[in-house]
This record gives sequence, structure tokens and C-alpha cells, in this order.
Amino acid sequence: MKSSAVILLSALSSLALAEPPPGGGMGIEHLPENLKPPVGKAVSDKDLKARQNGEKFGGFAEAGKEPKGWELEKNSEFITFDGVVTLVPKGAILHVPDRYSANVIATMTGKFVLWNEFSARYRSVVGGFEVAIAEASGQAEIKPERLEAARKTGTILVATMNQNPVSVQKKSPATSAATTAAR
Amino acid sequence: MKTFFSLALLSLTSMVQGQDFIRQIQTVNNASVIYDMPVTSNEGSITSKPLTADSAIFQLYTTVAGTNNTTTLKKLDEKAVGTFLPQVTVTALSEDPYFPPRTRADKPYGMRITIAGMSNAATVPDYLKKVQVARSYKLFDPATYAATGTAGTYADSFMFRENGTFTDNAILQRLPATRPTKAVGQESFTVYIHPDAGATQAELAKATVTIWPVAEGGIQGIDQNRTYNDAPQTGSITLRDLYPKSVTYAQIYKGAQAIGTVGIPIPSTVLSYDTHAPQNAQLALSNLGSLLGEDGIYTIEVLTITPFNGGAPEYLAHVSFNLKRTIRTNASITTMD
Repeated sequence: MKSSAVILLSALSSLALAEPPPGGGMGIEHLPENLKPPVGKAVSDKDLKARQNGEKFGGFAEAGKEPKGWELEKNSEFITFDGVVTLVPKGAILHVPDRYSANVIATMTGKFVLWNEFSARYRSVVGGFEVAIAEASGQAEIKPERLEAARKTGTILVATMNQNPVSVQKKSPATSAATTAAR
Repeated sequence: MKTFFSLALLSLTSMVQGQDFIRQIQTVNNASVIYDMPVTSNEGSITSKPLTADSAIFQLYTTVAGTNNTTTLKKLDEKAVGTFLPQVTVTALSEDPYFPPRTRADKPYGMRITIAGMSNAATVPDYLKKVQVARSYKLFDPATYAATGTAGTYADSFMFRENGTFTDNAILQRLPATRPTKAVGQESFTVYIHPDAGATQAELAKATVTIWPVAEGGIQGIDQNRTYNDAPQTGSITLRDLYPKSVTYAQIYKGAQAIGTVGIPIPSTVLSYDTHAPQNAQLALSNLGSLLGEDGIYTIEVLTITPFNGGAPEYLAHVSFNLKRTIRTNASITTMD
């Protein structure tokens, strides 16, 4: 697994955008010392089109035919309050009191802040509910009495691990192959 | 086989800012678990949640400020890692060595895909024995050179079932544009795999090349084939979509236009760029008188040198005019006494 971590590390490192090196300006000193003879004009639209048409090309994919990945919006839920919105994984919201039902929305609207900031700012609206990996994956059920006690706080309950939001499978995968996290 | 995902350290670059996070998606006992980790500093490391799983997908998101105090989330990168997942790299190739890779709308580019570690063992599920390569695009605004939000996928996709290095060096951009030489945007090749038996695919690797338009130029204030009795004073050149790394200049020489002529560069027109986006400019054709010799036909050409064509200039515009400074008069003087 070490190699996987290295690959991950190198891939994300490559995100660094190169700074444009200095060197632009005006004046004869910017010309190369040995000017080469001009080669002609760049290709015309007509000729480029002809070259493109000469290559095998399947056109553009129809909507919905593109590879389906883990899209952010489809796999997230949003909690909004006072014009501020945060995002949590789909399935992370364990309980929504009636009075806050309108605060859980499907699309992101408003000023975005991360969960840790949102939950610190609106403690009376949302609260974290720490779960174990076995509970997140549905292998173990969250103890009802523990959940019930948390519900009494009257806040929107969001499952967390190490205080970060995590999705929770509502049913054991042994009894249902379906996952609650939409794909 | 279970693998312990312990302390997968994610190197974060200066690109990452305040409201950014990493989404970790893992399949644990056939159940998907999604976990969001905030990125709180510009550099350093993030400790992922130790989970027991065969593979994991990491997605890095950042926030982009919009109008009316709104924010949109943009995925910067995605990487799938796991015990049985092949190691895949995709590299964009261009005559222009700049990074991130870029080319010009009329110049082919290349893609090199390297696949290693793809197992054909009977114990490995079939969905881990093949990767799919898809080609996609994003369009940029032709005036601001910023992303317009229009994007799509090309219909052609390719399936690889073997390890190896696969290179195509002659890929022509296919961005949807009315004028293909003015296409501006990005094309990406993304390698996907099904990390589990589900329908959702994960990115193993991706490379993107930016496509910039072909430059155009024009000469104003000097008329083709017109006779001037002195050096033209009001000439100027207009330049559009100059390649981000280019040297553009006008040259003058005696005679009608002859392809391949190396003339005298006009100093006031030499313009060099070494930046990340195309440039536009307007320049005066000044002090032509000092570059002119005997009367006759002269040609002015506007040329641009880019990383392409081995450093040889290309024509953007030209004009030829006739210089006739000597005034001959036929007259006679007579006296009458």
C-alpha cells in the first residue's frame, strides 16, 4: 500500500502550476540572434478542417453516455442556515428535527463553508454524532438508545469520524446490497 | 485481501486554499463509505481516516467564488488507489515544453499512457483487469481565455486490458468551434476503472492539454501597392491571439514579397511574451524612414516565432508599397528682352 500512497502523493503534487517564467518585453534585444527564414502562413481553417475530417473521429458523446464517476452533488447533502451552506456526504445526516426540515437541501445555495466551520458557528442547528467505521459501513447498527439521546438535542445530527462528516449505511450490506449513497 | 489504509499522506500545493476538502470514498464490505476531510492550510499534509478496504478514491475539491456571494465547488484532482488497482500514468506531449501542457489549435499533440500492475490472476475480479480511456473537453472564452463552463465528452473511448506504454503523437484537437484555427479550450484523456463491482468508475489518471488559438495580424495605414513620396508615417499593426510564448515583429525589405526572405526587423515592433495565456496588441510602424534605401517597391511583413516550426517565423500579415521620393519636373525657363 505504500506504493499507492506514493502514487497519490505524486499525482496531487503535479497540481502545482508552473509560474510563468519572466522574459517578456519589447525591443530589438528580444529577437533571436539568428533569425530563421519565415516558413509560411499557419494552416487555414479550411485546411485544418480537412485534416480533422481525414481522421477517424466518433463525434461527441450523447448526454448520459460519458463515464459515470462519483459526482459531488449527487453524493452530497447540503445544510443551509442564515445564507450559509455546508456539504456533507450523502447518508451522513442521521436525524432532522421538523423545525429544520427546510434547512436540508439537495443543491448548494449560499455562501459555502466547510463542515467544521459550519458546525462550530451554528451549534444550535447542527451537531456531530461520532460513529465507528463498522457503523458507517453498516456492519454494526448504531445503538438506538444512543441515537435517541442525541435526537433530544433538537439539532440536525450529522455522522462524523474524528469530527469530519461521514456517510452511514442505514442497512447492513448482508441484508441489502443496495447502498444508500447514490451513485 | 484487506489492506490497511494508514496515514495516506496527501501532499498539498499552494493551489489549495481556505474552503477546500478531500473526499475519500471507500468500499468496506461491499458498502460505500464517503468521508470528507477539510484542508486547512496551503501546505503540509492531511491524514486520511484509517479504513480497512481494498481500494479508495480520493477527490480534491476547491471553492470558486461566484457572483452574489455564492460559491461553486470544483474538483481539482481524483486518484484511485488500491491493492489490485493498476498504476497508470497519462502524460500529455507537445512541441511546446511548457507545463501545464499546451499547444496551438493547428498543432497535433500527443498522449502517453503507461499501465503497470494490471493483474490477470484468476483471483482478481474481471472489473480490475481493464481500464477505459475517455477523451473530454472544456471550452474557453475566445476573448478572456477563461473557462466558459461548457464541457463535454467525445464519443470515442478506448479499453486497455494489458500492461504497457501506449503513445499517440498525432492527436488533433476536436473542440467544437466555428473556426477550427480559433478553437480555445482544453482536452483531457482520463483513465477510468471500476474499483468494485458497482457501475461507478474512478479516475486512475488524467492528463490535460490546453489548446490556444492560432494568431492573426493585420497592417493598417499602409495601402497595398500605393505609391508614397516619403516613408509612410501612419502605419500600425494589430495582433490577436499571440501565442503565450512568442516573439512577434515586423520586418521590411526591398522588393515585392518573396516567401522566405529575411529582412530588416523594425525595432519598434518587436514584442516578446512568455506567459500563460494568449495576448493581443497594437503597435505603431514608426521610423520607417531610417530603414529605407533607394526608391522602389518595399514589403513589410508581420511575423511571429512560437515554440513550433523549429523556431522559424510564420507570417501573420504583409503589405507592399512603392516609394518614390524623387520628384522630376519637366520645365523650361525662358527670358524675354
